[in-house]
Amino acid sequence: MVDESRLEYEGGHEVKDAIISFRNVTKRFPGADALTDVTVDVPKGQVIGLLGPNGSGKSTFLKLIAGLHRPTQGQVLVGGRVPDRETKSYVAYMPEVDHIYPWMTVGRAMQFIGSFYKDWDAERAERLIDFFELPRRNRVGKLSKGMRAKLRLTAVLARASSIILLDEPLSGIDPPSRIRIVDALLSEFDSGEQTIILSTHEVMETESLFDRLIFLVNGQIRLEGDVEELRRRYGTSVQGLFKEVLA
Amino acid sequence: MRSAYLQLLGKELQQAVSTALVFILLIVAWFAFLTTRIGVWPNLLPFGLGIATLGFVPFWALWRTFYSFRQEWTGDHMYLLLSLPVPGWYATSTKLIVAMIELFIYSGIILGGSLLLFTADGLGGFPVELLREQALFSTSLKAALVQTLGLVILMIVIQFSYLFSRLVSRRRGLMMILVGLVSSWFVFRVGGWIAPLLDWIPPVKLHGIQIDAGVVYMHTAYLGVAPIIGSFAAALLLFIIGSNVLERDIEL
Repeated sequence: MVDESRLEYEGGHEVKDAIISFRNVTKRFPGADALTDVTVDVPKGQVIGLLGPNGSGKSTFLKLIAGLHRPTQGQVLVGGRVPDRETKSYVAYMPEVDHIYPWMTVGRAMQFIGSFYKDWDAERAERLIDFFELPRRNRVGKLSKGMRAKLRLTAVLARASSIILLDEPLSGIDPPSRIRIVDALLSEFDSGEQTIILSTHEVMETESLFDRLIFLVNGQIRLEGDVEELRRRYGTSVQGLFKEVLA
Repeated sequence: MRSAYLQLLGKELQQAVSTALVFILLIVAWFAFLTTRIGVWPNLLPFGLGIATLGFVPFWALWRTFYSFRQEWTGDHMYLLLSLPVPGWYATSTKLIVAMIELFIYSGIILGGSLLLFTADGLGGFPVELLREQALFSTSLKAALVQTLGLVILMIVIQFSYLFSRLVSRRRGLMMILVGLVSSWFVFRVGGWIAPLLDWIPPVKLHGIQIDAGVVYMHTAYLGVAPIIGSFAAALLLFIIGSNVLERDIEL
């Protein structure tokens, strides 16, 4: 059992080589604050686990980086810039929803998405389509939920983007597919060059991926830091920490 | 960037194909039915019903403008569109262009079908040589251009109103109506203000015909286009604002 008092977050520490910075960021929606006074730096070249219960602000956190939300207060910087059209060219964002047109075939969807990004790697896209056994000629709307999740992931991992944002990539996916997705993440991640922020509830499958963790609860950072350091400090696994933070 | 624009345009065209084919089939079926009524219904009634179909096309174009963005939201595809590193006007203009292409296709089929009905129905005593009259042809073309310009203005107003309504989280329908009314007022008011500055643009010469007891009379009328061009300039301003709202302000 982790000592609750020790889970107190001491506030955002400045990180050297931060590629993403949140400075006192509050995002307010009518009737609720999704994020409140969040200050955190995300270092370059790591896999960051963004953990927290439903409604904790994980999706809002990712959308602020992707440029799909603007902070009500504070500032978000991505590669030193306020998210805009320029940052979208090196941020690959996978939303939780099925955003790819259902009338497109798998092949057409990849060709369409790839044509907008200079960092698109067509060979990698082909490799991922084969790895996930996605039927190129099938319409996206005819794919199963798991297949559509794999397609969304392919659309993101086929890019050599410096920042990859994955919003609940394992949500609603059967266990064998989860393993394949995690395998794809491990094999395609360019350590040192790419930064991945992955929001999830599925800590068991993804624990091995993370270099760093951010725990969000009620729109505030509850715990944040290097995985090894957190494990050492609290004497438990990420899953154990997750349970404690949620408790 | 040019390629990105063409990709978006291609996507819009591909997305429109299935619905457009259904509409084309419906129009063709309607005209095929009207053809069977020639000689059964009173003279020129099939032609009249055929050409009347053209009256629905502008309403369809306005609906199409609204619906093309709405379906991006309802299908969650805005996540894809807004993640693309392209200017907002790429999305807004490609949607307008495809709606216009569809508009021209439907109008062309309806006009062609109506002409066939008109010819098949014995021209209703209309002097056939008038169909070859250059002045009437150019009048029809000018009138179509002016109407198209007016329709584009309304399409931009609809698109702007819809995009603006997405800035609020509640009562979007009401917001769209209000913004639509205010922006329509703005467009036509500004058109009126700009018109005197565009007085140097010559009015468009239009010809009309009247057939009285077999005698053809031709009238000439002049249409001042300065207010329409002024309104179009105001609509372009709304288009630029709407495209910027899409790129910089809309949240998902």
